[in-house]
Amino acid sequence: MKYTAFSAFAVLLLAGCGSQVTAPTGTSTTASTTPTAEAPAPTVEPFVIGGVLPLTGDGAIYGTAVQQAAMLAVEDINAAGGIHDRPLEVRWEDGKCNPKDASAAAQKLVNIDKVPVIFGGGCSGETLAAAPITEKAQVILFSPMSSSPDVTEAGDFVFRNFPSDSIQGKIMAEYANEKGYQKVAMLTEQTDYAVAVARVFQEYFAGEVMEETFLSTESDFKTRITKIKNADADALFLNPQTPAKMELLMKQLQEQQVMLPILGNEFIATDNGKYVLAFRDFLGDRDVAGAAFLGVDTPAFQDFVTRYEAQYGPIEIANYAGVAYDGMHILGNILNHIPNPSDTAAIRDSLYAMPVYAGISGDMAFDENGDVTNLAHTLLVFNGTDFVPAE
Amino acid sequence: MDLLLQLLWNGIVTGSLIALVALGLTLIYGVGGFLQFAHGELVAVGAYSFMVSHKYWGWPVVPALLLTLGVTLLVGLLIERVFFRPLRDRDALIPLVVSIGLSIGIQALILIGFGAGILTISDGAAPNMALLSGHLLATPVQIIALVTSLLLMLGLQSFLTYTRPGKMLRAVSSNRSLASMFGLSADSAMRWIFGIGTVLAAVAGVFLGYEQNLEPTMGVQIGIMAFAALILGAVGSVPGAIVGAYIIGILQSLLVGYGVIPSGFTAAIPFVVLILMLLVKPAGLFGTRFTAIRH
Repeated sequence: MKYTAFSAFAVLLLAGCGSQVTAPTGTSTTASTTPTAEAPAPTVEPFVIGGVLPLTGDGAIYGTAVQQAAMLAVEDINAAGGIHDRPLEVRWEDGKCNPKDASAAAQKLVNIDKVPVIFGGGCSGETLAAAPITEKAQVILFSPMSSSPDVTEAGDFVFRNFPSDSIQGKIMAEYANEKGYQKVAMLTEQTDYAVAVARVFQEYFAGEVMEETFLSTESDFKTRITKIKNADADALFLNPQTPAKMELLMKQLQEQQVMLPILGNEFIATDNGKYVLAFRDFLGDRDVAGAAFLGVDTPAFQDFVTRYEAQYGPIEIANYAGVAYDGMHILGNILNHIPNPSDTAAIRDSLYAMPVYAGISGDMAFDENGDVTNLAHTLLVFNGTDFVPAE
Repeated sequence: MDLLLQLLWNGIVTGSLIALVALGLTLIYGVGGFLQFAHGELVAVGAYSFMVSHKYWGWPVVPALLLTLGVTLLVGLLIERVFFRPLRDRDALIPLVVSIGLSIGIQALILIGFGAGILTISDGAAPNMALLSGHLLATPVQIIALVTSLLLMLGLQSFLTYTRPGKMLRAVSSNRSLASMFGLSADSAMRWIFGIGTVLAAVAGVFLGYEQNLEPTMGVQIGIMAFAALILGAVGSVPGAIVGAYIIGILQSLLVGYGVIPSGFTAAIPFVVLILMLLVKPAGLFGTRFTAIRH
């Protein structure tokens, strides 16, 4: 994490070195922004909200998809007249899937841009870090993808329309119980999301859990895998933060020929096991299962995918993108529903009181904690070629 | 027994890669008299060059490897010429600080070029081989990495001991001003050292890319382990760097593998070794004090 900051600093340094080229560009950008605001042409000022998502790094695979999906919803909203006849504009900040950058982004949006609503964060670590800042300023924090159970308690102004991992961890624990596993070895990345999945799993799992953890900066798991292989576990639970790490874990498991049943968090099963595709032969006919949020396969969802792909190219993590599209529409509806869209207390109350919204990803409403109702993860089992919902 | 064997093997493989990086560092310290903080970044340059030529352009391994060595060597020599040569007779702190800046700069350039995401050289797992009648699992890459590293270490040792340029390097490292009286130029010594160190780092980068993956900060992780190996062995000592590297690799593997420390602290082990050595025996296992190249 330190090095991300260092890198950013270095970019600044490099930019500074080429000052003859960079300085005028920087100035002209600032100059061109100011006149837009002062220009006589736009008769109405846009209605600005903030956005915090992982736009670079490993997490960018979701951040970008979610951002693009949300922007499709913004197009819809603006085509229908915007927010009280003002165009809706989102000021995006990069939370980089880590608490430090996300809190800096939230500080900027709350204190400098003074937005009433932040669409985000993406990774759970982003949302949990931004929440204390938005909560204090009574700004709405609306996450379309954070799934840590801790988000439930993050604050009165915090909402999310993505299902909590308390469901995911519980489903997997119940599955392990049902299979009669006595000892499960777990490889958990030390991030808010993965640690929370592990915690819920341990809470509901009847047997013993042997937990091995690793930092996001590490990429050598040989020794942990050797240890697990020799630990007489009945099954293995893979619990990384990103698809990239899931692939790396799989690769090193195969190199050491670990033949245990494999349970996983959503990255093993999501999009029909897309991220473990190269390892199908290795997985073979052993027991492999994961819980993922599937979304729904309705015509409306298919239309969304078609439209998305026409605009941005092949869709990644379509289930997340669909939820984000719905999330932005929900916000648009609520902002238009209340007389003053900057009144954050009114936005909050309307979100809690919102009747069921029929989205492309399913019917959504919010419970007393701001968690989405109705949406849930599904248990998916690998049948040798595909991940299929367990009956 | 199988557990011990496998853990030792894991540690030895990791140790070999650390050693390749630590050797470059120790040589640069021996001749140049400063710690080159950006040395780990050359590992990343090597890994990314190989990935681009082998995976993106589809070159076979040997030409891709040659290109990788060429590109990395060029970067290494350029760094020496542009940043370190002008600073050669300055206080050792100045090149150290410059190298920290370089490390950040190179990472930033990789970040701009390739993004922050994880990349791989080979998709899927390497085929594995059961050795010692099934008691040990190793991949061909690991075996090749180990053999190559050992050959390179032997080669370096013979180079320093038996060849004229090798002897020259040792002469310069033990007494720079005296060596120059005999017509040994410090400039060419530094070129040699940077060249050798860079090639070793590039090789480590290729293996690391195969074994694990590529990310802009990969050089930092291996660099830290190499520093710890250096401090452990004795800064400036060739055998010290090698022994230190294997101790770090094996220690990490055994401590985590046997559950002596929780696996979440794996990355902290090199730091702990580093701090302990600096407190207890700052000169390292092989050293009396920070000094010239010993072979």
